[in-house]
Amino acid sequence: MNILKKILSVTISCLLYTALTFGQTSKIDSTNTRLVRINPDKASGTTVSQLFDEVKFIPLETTKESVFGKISKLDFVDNHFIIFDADTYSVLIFTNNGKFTGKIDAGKMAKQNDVNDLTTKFGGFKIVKVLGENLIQIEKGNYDLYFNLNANFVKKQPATKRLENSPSSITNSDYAYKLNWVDKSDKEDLVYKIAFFKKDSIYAKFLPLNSIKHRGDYLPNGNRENSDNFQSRYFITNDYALDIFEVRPPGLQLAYKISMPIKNVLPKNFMEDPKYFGYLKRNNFFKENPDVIYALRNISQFYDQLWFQLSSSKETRSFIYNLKTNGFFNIKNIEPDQLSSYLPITDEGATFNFANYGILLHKDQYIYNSIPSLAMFIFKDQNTNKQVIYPEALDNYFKTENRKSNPVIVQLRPKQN
Amino acid sequence: MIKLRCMAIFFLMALSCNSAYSQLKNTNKQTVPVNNNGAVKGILRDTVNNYTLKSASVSIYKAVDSTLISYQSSNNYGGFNFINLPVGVQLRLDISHLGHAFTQRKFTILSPKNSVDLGTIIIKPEDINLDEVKVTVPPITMNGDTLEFNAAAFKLDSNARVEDLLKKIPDITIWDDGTMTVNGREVKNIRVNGQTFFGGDLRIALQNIPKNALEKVQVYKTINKENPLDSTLNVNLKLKKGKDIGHFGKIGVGYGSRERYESDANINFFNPKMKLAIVGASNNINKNASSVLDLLLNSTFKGTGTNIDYQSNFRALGITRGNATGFNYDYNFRGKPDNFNQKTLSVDYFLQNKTTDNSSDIKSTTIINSDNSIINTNNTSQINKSTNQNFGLSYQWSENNKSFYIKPSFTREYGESNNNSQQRSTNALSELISANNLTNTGNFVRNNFNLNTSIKYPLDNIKAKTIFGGLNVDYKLGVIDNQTNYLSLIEFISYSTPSENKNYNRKTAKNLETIDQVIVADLPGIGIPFLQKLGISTSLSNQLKIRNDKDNSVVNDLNSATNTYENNSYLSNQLRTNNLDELAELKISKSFNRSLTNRFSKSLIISFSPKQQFRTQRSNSNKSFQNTNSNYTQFIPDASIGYSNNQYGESINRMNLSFNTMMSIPTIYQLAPLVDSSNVYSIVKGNLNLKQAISRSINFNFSHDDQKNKNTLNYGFGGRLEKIDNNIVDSLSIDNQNRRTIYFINADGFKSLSLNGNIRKVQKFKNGELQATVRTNISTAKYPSYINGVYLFYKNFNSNTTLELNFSYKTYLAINLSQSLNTYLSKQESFNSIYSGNGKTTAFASSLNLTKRFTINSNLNFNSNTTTNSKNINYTIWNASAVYRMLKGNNAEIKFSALDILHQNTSIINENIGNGFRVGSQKVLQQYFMFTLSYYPNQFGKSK
Repeated sequence: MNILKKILSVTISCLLYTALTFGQTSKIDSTNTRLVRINPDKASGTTVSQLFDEVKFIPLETTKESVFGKISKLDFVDNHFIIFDADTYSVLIFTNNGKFTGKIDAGKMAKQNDVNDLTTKFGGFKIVKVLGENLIQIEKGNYDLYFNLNANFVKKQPATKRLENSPSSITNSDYAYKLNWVDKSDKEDLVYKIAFFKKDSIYAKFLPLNSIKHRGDYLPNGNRENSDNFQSRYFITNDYALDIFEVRPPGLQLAYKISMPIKNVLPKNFMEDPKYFGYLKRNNFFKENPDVIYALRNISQFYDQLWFQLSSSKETRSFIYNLKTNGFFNIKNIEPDQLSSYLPITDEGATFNFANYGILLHKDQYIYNSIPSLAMFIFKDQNTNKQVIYPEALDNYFKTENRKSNPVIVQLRPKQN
Repeated sequence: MIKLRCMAIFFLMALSCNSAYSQLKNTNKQTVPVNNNGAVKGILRDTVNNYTLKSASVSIYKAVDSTLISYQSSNNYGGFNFINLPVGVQLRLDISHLGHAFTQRKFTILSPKNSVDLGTIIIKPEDINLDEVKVTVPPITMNGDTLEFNAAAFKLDSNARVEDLLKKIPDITIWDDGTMTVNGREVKNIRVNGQTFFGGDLRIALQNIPKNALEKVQVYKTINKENPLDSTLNVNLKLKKGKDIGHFGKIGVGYGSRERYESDANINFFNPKMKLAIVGASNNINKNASSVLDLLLNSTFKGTGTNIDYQSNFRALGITRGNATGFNYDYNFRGKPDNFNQKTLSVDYFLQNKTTDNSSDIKSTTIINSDNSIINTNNTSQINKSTNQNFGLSYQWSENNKSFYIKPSFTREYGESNNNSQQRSTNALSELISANNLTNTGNFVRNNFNLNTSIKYPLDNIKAKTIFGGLNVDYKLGVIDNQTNYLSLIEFISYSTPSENKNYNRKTAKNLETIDQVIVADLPGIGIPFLQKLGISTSLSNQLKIRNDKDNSVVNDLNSATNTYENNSYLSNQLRTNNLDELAELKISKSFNRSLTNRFSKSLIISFSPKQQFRTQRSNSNKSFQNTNSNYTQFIPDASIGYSNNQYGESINRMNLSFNTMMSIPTIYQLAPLVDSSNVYSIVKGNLNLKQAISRSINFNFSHDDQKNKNTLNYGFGGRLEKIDNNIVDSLSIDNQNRRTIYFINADGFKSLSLNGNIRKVQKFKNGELQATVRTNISTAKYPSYINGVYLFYKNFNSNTTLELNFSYKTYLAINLSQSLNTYLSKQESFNSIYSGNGKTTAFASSLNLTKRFTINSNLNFNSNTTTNSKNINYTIWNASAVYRMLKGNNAEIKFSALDILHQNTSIINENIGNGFRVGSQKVLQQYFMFTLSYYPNQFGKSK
């Protein structure tokens, strides 16, 4: 019966996509879709060295100048970590060993930015290559400000015209895209999960949502966007759905469909029945059904490892699915071993960074994640009955720093097989 | 005195300790000697799915009787490590984890040197659990954001109540004043199955609900939407299935020496939809309950642990004989109510009649100049009888942050009073100068109707595309009809000028009708785009008060020649007063937040409220001089700065500094009263030139909340500085016969400063707990005044400090020790005089459970009072009681109480009265012995 239901649901979904492609919505490529069958409650454990070839903990230097809150955006260029901290609204630069080299904060920008932008806030940074040099570009007011990797001001220029809500662009593409794009020409106020633009004009749009009918039903967090992705693959998901789409400008490919036990799945008519419309009704439904997964987020793929997060009202869990062996692991249950100096590779079990934001960056064969010092010292204290010899940098960190120091970056190189 | 105090404390402590020790010795005889230096460790592993088990609940019990010894969660490596475990006793380790089979291991630690390593314990996934193991619940679990304590994990006496359970949980402290803290933070709301339980006082729930009816204690936070940094801690008691229906209560009768008696009965029924409490009480021992809730609070079942005894109020003035009865009915329309979704109807009725017999003997000294003072002795006796009925309805609705309530209530009070007062005045040379004898007999009827209603309708102004953040409207209506009739017989004797002797025989009938209306409308969170850009939020509020008073008085004086009462045309009067008070307020605030993830969060909120107040007061009277029309307008700004610093896992410090302005206007009785010359010692004359008084104050407070898991230290302090311009003060004219005439005038120069502080520390031991509290209040003020035309200041300094220690040992012993010190000092610089006094009280209370059913309580209060120029007054109150509980469920109780055993209770008055002081005593309850029988029906769940 369950199998019949699943087959039906897949068929209906496919029909639905086909139906949506009529009219204005563009067609999604579902020719190479792979079904991934998982039971979130039955994920296995494994060891760090089964999944990774290399693990490195890089404590970020803590001084009065360099202290910051959390890593809201991370990039790694020319052997430097570039960090945007939304707690202090600053961009901090550290070497690959964690040595602090400079900071760009509101004060520094105010000197260069004579526009009447009174707030200290800004939305992050981008790394751009100008005349062969990697520069940090920050959009502030009507200007783009450029700084070098020593945090010195290089130049400013009027901000380039941006599409509404500043969409990101994928490298090596003629197309820009925008998430949650509102089609103002549409009478029904349709919001498209993703739309592609060519030279500022709409080219294709996918995954529509009736924003009048579903006012307030959007999920609070979307997928983390990475401008420079591992193997240049970028995935998105639709709200309240278990399909993973790969963004291939100017189109979408339905790459994976996740199948789960019935107790974890939303009712079929969830997006159609008014009894589920509105934040409060939905909230009540999720409270009463704590096993139901309402969000699939933060998708990344590293060779055969598909990483993703599933959220229910009870918890957000992070998983790895091995597309080759069909092994299915809960990241919380990755057991530390000698490769990681017997330390966990995420902060799960102590703080909530990884549960909230997932992986920070994947670049040049490496995955980057961070662990707050609060969690690092909890892990260290629980490790006392093992005779662990920490690498020098980590050993120094545990000796000289404390729970209030800067976070530690975890650099992981996933196994290719 | 001090010697006696020390001896008594030593004796009582020795008695308590000796008994506790012998009880312990008896307990220990049954087991091997206990050495608590053992340790056990291990690692939990799911070998099927290949991972170590984090956050599993691991609990250690004594194998023989399943007594919980300790519990913890497995760490991030699946490890656990217990220390301080008993050696040589078989122990049981229970492991539970969602999705995994319940697992048990038994082991014995043979010697303190051999800590047991259980190695890797294999935990099977739930679906392959084939062993037949009796599953037990873990003591503590985290369910989302809710911390849950599971009652079944704690083994207690079958008659224990929820309070006994909470005292067993290390994270929870129940304070002697009835507050409850979880990890140092105070619990603000307690609910039972999501609903308020018989009025919401936590003692009613904790001391009545059997521990065995409880499934779990749930602790959760709710965030204050107005100030997201401020969250409230709540507790919900989730009852076991089927235990949400039943009844509890108390029926008790007692009789004692000096014809003292008490009887009380209450029975309370509940089910998921409704709660009904019916109460009744009658006594002549000053156990005066003023509401259904009061009676419920004083007749809780209480558990098996120790509680300091509830007793008669030995400090209450007079002796009250009272009867009371009433009911309270709550109906809940919602299936699963919670904090944000409620729909309830409440009906309550309370009837009380009481007779209070009071007398006092007071000596007041008033300084009139540097050479002279007047001493007034006043002997009074009063008998007041009253009957009071109150009927109230309340309908409350709340859903998704919107709420509405309406509460009409009606009170009727009637009664009679009989007061006698004999005053004698002497001068500083102790020469008798005048006397005044007064007899007042009368009756009164007061009818009072109140209606309170409120609507709160918040809007999400971003979604609703409006600048308004919602609307809150409150409306209050009060209608009062107060009729008083009394006969006054007054005799004034002047010893120096007999021609000024006066006699009055006066009948007065007064009828006061008032209609009072208040409407407050708030527009919170107005989204003005320009200000929002600057991070400034604004709100508007308007308060309109309209009050109409009708004061009709008919006064008749006896004409001794004709022996008939004739109308006193001066004092007979009809006075109408209409007051209008309009207050418009704009509140502008800006907040600055700084946080570093996982480290701290700091917030600073600055707000400024310019307010304009307009008041008019129009009076219309038969007497032309009372026809006044006064208008007042005043700018009364408020401002505040609030700061909070939350260092995660360490502490939260909060600070608030505010500036407030208030206007008070003179009443018609201060502007143009009718001068009643029969009240010779206090003739009040008006002043039509009185202006409004403006008070400006600065308030400061600071609090430190410890966020550590146990042994918390919390403290706070605050202060208030106030200055009043144009303060309405007395200008007192005292003649040489102590006849006093009071004029009201405006005077600058009033200043006051008050400071307060408190420290609260709890220390948990293996088998006991020590709570220490220090509270202090200090105030000093400078009052401007006129006496016989001389403008002067008098300065006061008052302080009040209490240190309290509470110690409890297991369920056997509770000891409370407290020391309080009150001081006052009054200085009149113009007269070069200083008066001071102080009162000290040392209190020692203890409760000792000699057996599971037999308890003895004792408390001793040593009181000592000193005053300048007066003898020290010392007295001691010693009360003791013995309580025996009977029947299987401890439902029956026999109690013998001995109160004020030393027969020394006396109510001392020793206080500062501005330009002088008062000392004396008043009638209070004194020694009696009483025998009480009580029965506590108590059933949670349907009867079998």
